Amino acid sequence: MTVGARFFGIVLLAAVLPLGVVGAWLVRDAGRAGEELLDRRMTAALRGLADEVGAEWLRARSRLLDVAESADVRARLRTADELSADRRPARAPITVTVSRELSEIAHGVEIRDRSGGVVARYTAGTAWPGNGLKVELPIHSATGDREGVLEAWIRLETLLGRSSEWTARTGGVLGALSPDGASSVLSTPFDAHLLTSARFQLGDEDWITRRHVLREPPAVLVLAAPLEPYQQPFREAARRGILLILAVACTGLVTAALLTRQTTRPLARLVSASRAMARGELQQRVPVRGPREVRELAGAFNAMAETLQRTLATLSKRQALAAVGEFAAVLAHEIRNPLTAIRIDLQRVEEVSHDEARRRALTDRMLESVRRLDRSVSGVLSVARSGRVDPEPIPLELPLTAALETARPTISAAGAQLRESYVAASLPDVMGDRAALEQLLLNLLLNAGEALDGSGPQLVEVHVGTDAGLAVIRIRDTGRGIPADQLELIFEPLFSTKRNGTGLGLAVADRIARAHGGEIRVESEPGRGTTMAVHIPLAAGRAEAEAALPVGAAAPRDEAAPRVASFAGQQP
Amino acid sequence: MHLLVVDDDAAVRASLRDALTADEVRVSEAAGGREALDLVRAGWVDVVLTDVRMPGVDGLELLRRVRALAPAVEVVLMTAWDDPDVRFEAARTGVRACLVKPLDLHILRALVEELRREHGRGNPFGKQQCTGE
Repeated sequence: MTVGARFFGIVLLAAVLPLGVVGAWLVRDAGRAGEELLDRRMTAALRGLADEVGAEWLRARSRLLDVAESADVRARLRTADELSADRRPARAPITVTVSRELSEIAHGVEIRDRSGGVVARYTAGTAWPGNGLKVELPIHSATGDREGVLEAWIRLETLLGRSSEWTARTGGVLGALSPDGASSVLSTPFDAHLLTSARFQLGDEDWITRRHVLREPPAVLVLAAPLEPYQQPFREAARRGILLILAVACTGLVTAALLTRQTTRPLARLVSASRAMARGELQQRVPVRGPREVRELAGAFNAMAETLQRTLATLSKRQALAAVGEFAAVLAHEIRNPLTAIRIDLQRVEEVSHDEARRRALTDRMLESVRRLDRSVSGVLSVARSGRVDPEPIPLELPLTAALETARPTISAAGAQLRESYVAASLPDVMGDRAALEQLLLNLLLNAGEALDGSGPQLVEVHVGTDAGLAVIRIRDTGRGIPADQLELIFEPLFSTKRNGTGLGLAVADRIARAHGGEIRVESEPGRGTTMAVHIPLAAGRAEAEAALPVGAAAPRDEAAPRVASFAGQQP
Repeated sequence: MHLLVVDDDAAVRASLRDALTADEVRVSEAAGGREALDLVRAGWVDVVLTDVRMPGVDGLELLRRVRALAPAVEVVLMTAWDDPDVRFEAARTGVRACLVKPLDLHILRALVEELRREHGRGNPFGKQQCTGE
């Protein structure tokens, strides 16, 4: 799992998920908050309505009782009592006239005596009886005795004269039910039966109902209102909240992504730098930037790289020291072997003194060993001499041809092919010491030949060109190549990778090149081969001519492909 | 007794062969460790006198293999470079003697004579010794 993915996970768990939960809760709560607000408004409206109705009813009640207060009715009520006590038949009820106000209040009024007989009656129209809300009011005498009862069929809408003001506040519809809550006593714009339930659906809208029970007149006021207008603002608020949350979450994620990138980019740099170091590019360093931990890591990496580079450099020196020991061993071998032969032979000369032929054979062998010793010493001395050269303008052809002629038999004997190619028709003149250059080129050629390991193409190629006032002689082999960690060491005197190498050939070549103000550059690919490029200054006149030419036209006479000359008869 | 001289230097081999060949000592030559091992394996080498520094199978390696292959065969090392590590390793492996080049003919002959006598008595287990110059 990458750091980026982990970071995303953390942000998702710690920020986005909680925010999502909050959003969901907001949406759910928006509906409930709307309903609660509506509930409070409806309850308040119902209370207001009840107060209103109560006040109206008190007035209406006294108007109604006024009917019973008329002298006629009173007299009839009293006589009714007497008649009933005497078991005489009741008289027909009288019809009373009422004020206009009362006619607006009630559909009809009946006054009954204690036995239930109707003593007086008022009717407003044909609809009665059966219309309106039935109210019974006791009629008391002046002494407080109950004389009868007044039954009235109330027009509730009259009592609710100013109800619209209250209902408008809730955006609802007012209804009224009979005291038992079973039937409607007020006309509504929809099926009044819906009012009997606590909530109902009208069209697509949810409605809720709130009720208020009136004792007098005995009725149940029902207020119904649609939920939507109340929930809608809350839902809107919730929606905005969710949008805000989404924005916060997105910001969080983007920030996380940026932070992650900020963190992982230096890490990626570290990874690629580490890989480069693993390839041997020890100069790799990473910029110390970013968060503190990453800075520390980068710093630690750089310190490690520094130490590694230093350690490896020290190690190289140690390798060089080891090479000194190796050279000493080689030298001891080279000198003490002939010495062994000489010593033993010398000690035996006496034994064979009487035999002239055997004595001569021993002496010849000893002389040969002495010559071998001399050659070994000469080789070592050549390193010391290689730094002293006497350059003069000479054709490069002289030392090159001589070196090629000397090296060819050795290279051919190893089963390899020697090829030459030149970029110009004729070889340039260089500022050089002929003998030293011959030595240099010969050493490189022999070294190239010895690098061939018998697998793949066995080839030593010599290519001569010029570059910025320098003759460039490239000697390429298809041999085993040089490991990267040894490239710095190969020109060190006494360093050798070969079993019988003295470690002198390349050291001598390098010293000669540097004594000429030139150098040897090495490119090597282990397993594929090595190219040694010798850079030697051109002779003055030639160098100036080269310098006067535009770049890329160093060899105007030979712009075509380089001439490749293979030496016939060199194939194995 | 059959003595095998192993050295990559032909001049050394020739001198030693000439100097050590005697009535009861037959001397053969090998230019390298591998060739020497073939002769040891063939079973008619009694003493191996070998150089340490050689391409391929070197003297120490040859000593190790001879010890494993034919414990009765004595091995004498010659070295141009008297390295204590080499001496220690050789002694550990069971070398008969370590000689430092250039060799002294008298010492060499004395050692060969000792080996010859042991060989004549049929006692292949001589005393180990390491002799410097």
